[in-house]
Amino acid sequence: MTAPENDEQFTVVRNEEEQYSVWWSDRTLPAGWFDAGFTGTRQECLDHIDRVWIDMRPASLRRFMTANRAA
Amino acid sequence: MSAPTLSNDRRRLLAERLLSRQTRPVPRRDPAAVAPLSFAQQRLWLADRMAARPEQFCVPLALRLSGPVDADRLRAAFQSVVDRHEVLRTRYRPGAGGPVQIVAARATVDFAVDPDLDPASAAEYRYDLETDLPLRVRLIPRGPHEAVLVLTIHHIASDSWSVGLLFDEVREAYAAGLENRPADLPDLPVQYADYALWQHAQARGDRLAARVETARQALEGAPESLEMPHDRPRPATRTGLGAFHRTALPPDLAARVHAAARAAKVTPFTLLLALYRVLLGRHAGTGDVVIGIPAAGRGRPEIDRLIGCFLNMLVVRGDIGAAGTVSDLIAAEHRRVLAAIEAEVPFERLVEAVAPARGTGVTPLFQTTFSYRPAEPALGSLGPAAVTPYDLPGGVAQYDLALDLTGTADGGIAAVWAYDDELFDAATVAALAGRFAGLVAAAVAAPAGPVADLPVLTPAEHDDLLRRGRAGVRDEDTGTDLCTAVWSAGPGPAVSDADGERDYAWLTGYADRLAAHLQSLGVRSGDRVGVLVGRRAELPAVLLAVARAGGTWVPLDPAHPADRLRYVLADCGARALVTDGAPAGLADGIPVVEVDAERPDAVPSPVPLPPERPAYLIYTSGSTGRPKGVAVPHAALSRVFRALRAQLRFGRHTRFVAVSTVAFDVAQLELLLPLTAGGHVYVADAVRATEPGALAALVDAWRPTTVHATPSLWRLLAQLDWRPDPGIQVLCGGEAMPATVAAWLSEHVAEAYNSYGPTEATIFASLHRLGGDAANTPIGWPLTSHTMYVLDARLRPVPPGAPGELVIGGPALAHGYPRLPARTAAQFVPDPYGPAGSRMYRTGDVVRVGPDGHLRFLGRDDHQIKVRGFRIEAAEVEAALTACPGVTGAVVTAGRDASGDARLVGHLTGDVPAPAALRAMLRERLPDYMVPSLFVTLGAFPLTPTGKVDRAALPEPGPVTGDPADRPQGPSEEVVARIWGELLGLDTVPATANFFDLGGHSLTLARLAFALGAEFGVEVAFNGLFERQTVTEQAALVQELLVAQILALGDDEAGEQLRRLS
Repeated sequence: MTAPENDEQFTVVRNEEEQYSVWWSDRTLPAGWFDAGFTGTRQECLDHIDRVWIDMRPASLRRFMTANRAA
Repeated sequence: MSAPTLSNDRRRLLAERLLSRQTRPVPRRDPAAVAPLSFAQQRLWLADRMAARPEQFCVPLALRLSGPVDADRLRAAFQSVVDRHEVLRTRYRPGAGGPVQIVAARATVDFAVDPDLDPASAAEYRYDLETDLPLRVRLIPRGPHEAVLVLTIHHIASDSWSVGLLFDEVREAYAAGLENRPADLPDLPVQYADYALWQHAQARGDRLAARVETARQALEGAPESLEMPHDRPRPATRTGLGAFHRTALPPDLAARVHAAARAAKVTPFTLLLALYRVLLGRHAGTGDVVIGIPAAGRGRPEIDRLIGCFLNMLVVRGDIGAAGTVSDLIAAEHRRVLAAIEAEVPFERLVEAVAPARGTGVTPLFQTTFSYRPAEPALGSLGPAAVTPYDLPGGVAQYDLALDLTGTADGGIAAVWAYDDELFDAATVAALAGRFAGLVAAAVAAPAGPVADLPVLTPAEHDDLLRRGRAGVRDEDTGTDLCTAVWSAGPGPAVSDADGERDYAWLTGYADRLAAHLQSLGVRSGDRVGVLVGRRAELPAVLLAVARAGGTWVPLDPAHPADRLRYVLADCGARALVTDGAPAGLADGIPVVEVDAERPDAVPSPVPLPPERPAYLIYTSGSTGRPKGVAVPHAALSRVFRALRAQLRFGRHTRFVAVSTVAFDVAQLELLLPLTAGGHVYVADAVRATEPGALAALVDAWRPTTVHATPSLWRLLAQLDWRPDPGIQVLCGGEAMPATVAAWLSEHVAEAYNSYGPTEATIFASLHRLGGDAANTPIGWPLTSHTMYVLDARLRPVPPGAPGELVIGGPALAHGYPRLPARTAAQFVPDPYGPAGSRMYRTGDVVRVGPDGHLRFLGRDDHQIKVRGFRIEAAEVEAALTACPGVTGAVVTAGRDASGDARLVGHLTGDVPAPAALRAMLRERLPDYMVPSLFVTLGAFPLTPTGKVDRAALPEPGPVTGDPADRPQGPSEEVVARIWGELLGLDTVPATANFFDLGGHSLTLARLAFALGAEFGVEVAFNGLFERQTVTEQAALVQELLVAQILALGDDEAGEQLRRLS
């Protein structure tokens, strides 16, 4: 049931925890997810995510760690 | 969209065929000729003789006659029609060259008047084709001006077009009789037997053979059968009986269908067929759908007025996955239907050509049919009597499911769904009919929209399915975190192993001292700490210490190869390693902490716990050829633990035996969950955790309240003839539950659960309490920490019962795969059904909701394989294989051994080393469970049309053919060889062949140790067999053990044994 590789268009999306995923370009984005500014085939989107998602910790954890280190 | 046009080649072909029809009419046969049966008749004749319920081949027609009826004149009218049509006077006899038609010159119509007859039973008739005539008529008067007329005609002599012809002729003959005039009926230049002879002559031509071959090729690779979600399993033999569900598309919707068809320049038939195909495909979980469509099979003037079986079923295969928009879908359907009509391949010839290897439980080539008539033929009147249809109860289901649509006088479209009621319940078919109407409405409203977005569920069904998937989830808070729970759980016994019992004060004291030490080594919040510790009481304490210090533990299995351990430690960037025996050089550059080192009393500095801090990072098999880490946050772990404590009623009374390797995520549950509830964990050592006899003895002696193990281990325990305390709580999971294990657990244990959960969803996502249904154990419904949906490729709910991917949401998911962003993004996707911004995990497991509402596992949709509880990426094993010298290509598949356990088979190309050498090389890189049991060397891999390795076409490992010189010698070798044969499913076992080369794996070896022990009455250690891997060596080992046992006997005892033997 994995989507076959075809020319379906996807968008790179991101939530408030700055976690990335992909969503179909022709469908409404689920609530709490935002267009991260990249569109292409599924594989192109995943390749893009490989380049941009550097720190994979959820944003809330990242902020907590920074705050506590500073303290 | 414009209608597809015929190519010039096709135009030429069509013209040629039309021309051939004009020039070669059906001739009248030589009166002396013996007519064979037409192709359609031959099939019916055979089917009729083989069918358990041959009445399925009768076509009943019941009519209500309102007004005066003259029975004698009606009989005469029927007689005149029988006189006109030879086929109504034909019987069928077997002949030397196949069955032949025996046409009687005259025959009296079987017509009777009986006011006491029940129309339903009048319609039921079993013909003997050799002795009976194919038409029977019953007139059932029900008062002076009311009667029911029941005609029953065998399909061998009619089709639906013929039934109309027959009634038209009867009507005219009857009216003529009443009016005393000759009947105005057309001449019949030829008869059905003439057509049958002509058809056989035509078939000898080359042109038909070429058309059949083209049609056969078009069906290559089609699914074996269209498996709609049945309410009951398919019986071995179809009865052909069934039921009807009648419904309608209302006039306003029908009007939109007509308009959309006009706009697409197709008939409503084509449009509705295309949408029926979508409905079927989305229910069966396939894009590739084969549908039968009836074609009148006439089209020549000389046979147009003949009664007889001319109907031809055209086989139309189409892929709904290939279509983009609804318009594209309809255009593609139009091309397919045109091509099928144009080729006009007799169905029977196509069945012969395809020669499907199928049982009688499945109809050949297709399992569903579709028809559409613009209008119901008018029944009119019979003399002065008005004629209306009389609905007979029950009916015929020649196929699993048939949809017959007819335009109605009010502008609507009547739908009759004929279904095999052994497969489907009435409610299931009614739901299908409702979804079809919704699908049609959506399609005609948005012809430019994508086919993939057509809703296959009604909005109410859609919402209901989602509601059920998230019914129990609690996500308001995370629950008590791990350390808080454990540190407040005492006093009392906490952890035991073979060395004795330790209490909570020891546990927290040990963990605090180690945590403080780790902090002193520089471990800070979020740092990873490798844990490479044997199976002993300190193991849970070490995990807790890492958490207490603020770190993330990375569990490592001491049995794994050093190469793999080194990779994991480097990949996770471990800050320290806690161990009780790490190989030298494993952890260069990081502090190594000995489990047994003396440490001063100390309490670690408190570390604030953000709920999203990972508790552990666990490595599973990875598709890139290397293991991949899964990071699980404390928030997820505490939620799963809270859900499980409640559902399993864990508390201070809980005594849990932990048997799973720490590298398997369920070990975190075994080692820690009881400690969050004040319970007591026994950490079984490696021997007790794997040898069934030792584990059974431990359970009997230590008396746990709960035990978790994989089905494979439970199967071994069951084979011991061991009886657990029936009050014990059993958790069984990690792989698909075999029926034998489910049955054994249900029989011997009061409370047993099948558990399910991928590492990415934190240990367990669902539990199913066993009971009754052993054959296909459900995986249950989600814990309160999870949501579960069965979704299609576009992540929308599939219809109930349809196969779909199990997708898990809720607040207890892992973060993902550190340092693998693309893989994480692909598997953890936006959850449109959960809170804003939430994610859900695509498991890749294919499941369905059964008729009982429970989820059942069907298989994997990728190349991931499960062996003894471990998920294995074939790619990782393949990568290790191709790294071996000489191996040029490797494909790894899952097979089953003789006991039904999963095993890996490596298919290799190249100059492949001997199996033993290959296995030795693999053990350097892979854990034991990932080393294939069998190797098959090929010249080249079979490929699919798209050039990928065709995994389904890979050859099965061949049987072992023993060299006669290598036969086992002497009674002990023979007995050992016999046991091997039983365990490995082999007829012959060579004396010097290696156990693992013949398909054995470590689990079969455990079983072998047990079987040898039972056979020879000695204690055979599992580890001993690892050193002795041939029949000869094992027979020698058994001899040694026997001798040792006898030497250990006292003189009296030995004498007693000797006396008994002689």
